[in-house]
Amino acid sequence: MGTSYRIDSVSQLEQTLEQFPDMDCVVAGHESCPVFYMQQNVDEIAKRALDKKIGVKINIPIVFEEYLDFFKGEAARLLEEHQQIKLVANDWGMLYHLHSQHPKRKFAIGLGMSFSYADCPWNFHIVEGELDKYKEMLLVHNLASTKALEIVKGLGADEIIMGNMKSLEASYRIIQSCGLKVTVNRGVNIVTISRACHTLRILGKTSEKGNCAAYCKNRTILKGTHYYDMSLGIHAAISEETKAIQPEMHSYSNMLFTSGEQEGIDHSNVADVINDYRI
Amino acid sequence: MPSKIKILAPSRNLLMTQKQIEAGADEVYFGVESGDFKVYSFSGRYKSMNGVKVQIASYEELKENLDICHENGVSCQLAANMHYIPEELNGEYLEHIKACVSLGVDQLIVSNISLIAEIRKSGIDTPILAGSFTFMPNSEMVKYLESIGVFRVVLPHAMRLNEIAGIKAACPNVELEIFALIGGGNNCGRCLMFHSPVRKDIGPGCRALYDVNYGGVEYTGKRFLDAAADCALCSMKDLIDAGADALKIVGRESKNEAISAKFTNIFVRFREGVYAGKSTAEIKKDLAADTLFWNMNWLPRFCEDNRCKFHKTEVTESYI
Repeated sequence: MGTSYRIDSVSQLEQTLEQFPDMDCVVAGHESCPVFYMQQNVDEIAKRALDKKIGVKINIPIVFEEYLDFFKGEAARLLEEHQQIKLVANDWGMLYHLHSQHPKRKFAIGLGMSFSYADCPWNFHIVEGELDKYKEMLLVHNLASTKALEIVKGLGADEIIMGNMKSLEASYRIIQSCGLKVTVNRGVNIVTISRACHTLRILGKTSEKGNCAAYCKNRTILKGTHYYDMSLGIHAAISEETKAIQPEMHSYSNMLFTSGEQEGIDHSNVADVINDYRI
Repeated sequence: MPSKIKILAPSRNLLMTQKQIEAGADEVYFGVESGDFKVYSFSGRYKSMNGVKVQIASYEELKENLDICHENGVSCQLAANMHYIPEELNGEYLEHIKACVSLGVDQLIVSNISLIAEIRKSGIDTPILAGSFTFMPNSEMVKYLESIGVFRVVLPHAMRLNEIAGIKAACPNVELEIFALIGGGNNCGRCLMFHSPVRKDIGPGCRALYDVNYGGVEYTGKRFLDAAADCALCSMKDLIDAGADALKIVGRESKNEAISAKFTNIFVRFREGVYAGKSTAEIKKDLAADTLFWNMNWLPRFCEDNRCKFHKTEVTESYI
């Protein structure tokens, strides 16, 4: 099983190489924030890793329309200048575009497109009270069907990056049996992705967008205290019982995630793990 | 002359459908109960929320709703937009859709690419629109959906006007549906913070209050995730100019059917003003003059809380 590390700076690459000289691959870029992506030196990270014969995957973030031309150009450039890298698409539109432009190349599907409600303890409540036969609908990975995987392969993907949860073991098996590589991100399970950067908004620093990567380096932990009653338009206290099932959550750019690792997950159908501790 | 932008309203029972038709809706959408779900449904929403049933209760009731809509020239969309259906439930899902289509549903809302393929493979040729959970932030995704036969897409909450125009320019033959009332702080289809049908105090996670520890500094009671932009009313003309084809009003779970229809009617009246060439200020003045609902409900909930989708607000300024 391969071992990858998420890297978001050249200095971090150097430190990680020193600590883990046997690493197989670096994962750069960002799943969801084009602004963070642009503040990385993705080219230098790729060049240094490739020089050391280490694999490189680059997450092209979820691309809203206004960034589309930039990332189309960026993807073309990266593939031309660094032939050995693998691009990771985080939205269907970018995957469709990449495949249409590079029909012979293979791509990975990132956490922007790959999810299940089971990824996140926030959603454990969803299956409460539902019949067993329908629980699967709420727990299985969104791409774990032969039809979905046919479509994914038809669009040039040969690898899916997934969360790391015991509940996903069956999905790992299904996806691997359909001829796609399963890569598991060990560190983070994404809860939400937003268009808005919550950190900049709360800090009152939206004017610094574009020069804001440092704000993501601070650990941000959220604990819910009051829920919102939509019908009354008020906030009311969350009960202790419900608080007990809600996970501690971490915010990072425009993503919210839970972190940590469950014990005893069967990785026999997993080809690669990404070590990703963004906090 | 191009046809007017459509107003799409929610419904969950015959009374609500009647009210929405009276309010002036052009299209109505609903989910329908099926199978023996206890909590969830194939419509991507729960059977009930906070004591309110969110789905039409039976195929018989669906027929009544469809008949009254069609008698009044109103189209009907069936919400079949579950994110994902495991293969063993495909048959039940398709049978449910076939049952609804046989009664006269005009369009299907589907939010999973493989399910769109399954529906077509099963021989159902009802027009499909790709629901918000499909999540299409760019024109390449819309092109792909067009290539698999989708006629309309529901764009994500946090699109900008220039992006909507860009998508329309790139995909002129695909209809664009915009959330016009009630939003979400996260990317549709990539938000796993589901409200709970069984625990009222879960609520919409994006609107909750949080204690936040940022870099060791404590902040209490913050609406940290609340990037929900709820209202596109004043931007209606801009949306028409950008190429939007339909405006969607959310609220199948609205407790009061008549209140839900009032929201719809505000949009219908605003549209009349836009096509009559009135300015936004004039239209709002008209609404304020004779609509108690506008003054008592709309203004405090949306305007005073800066919930504008397409204007410059603290939320839209934080968009990446």
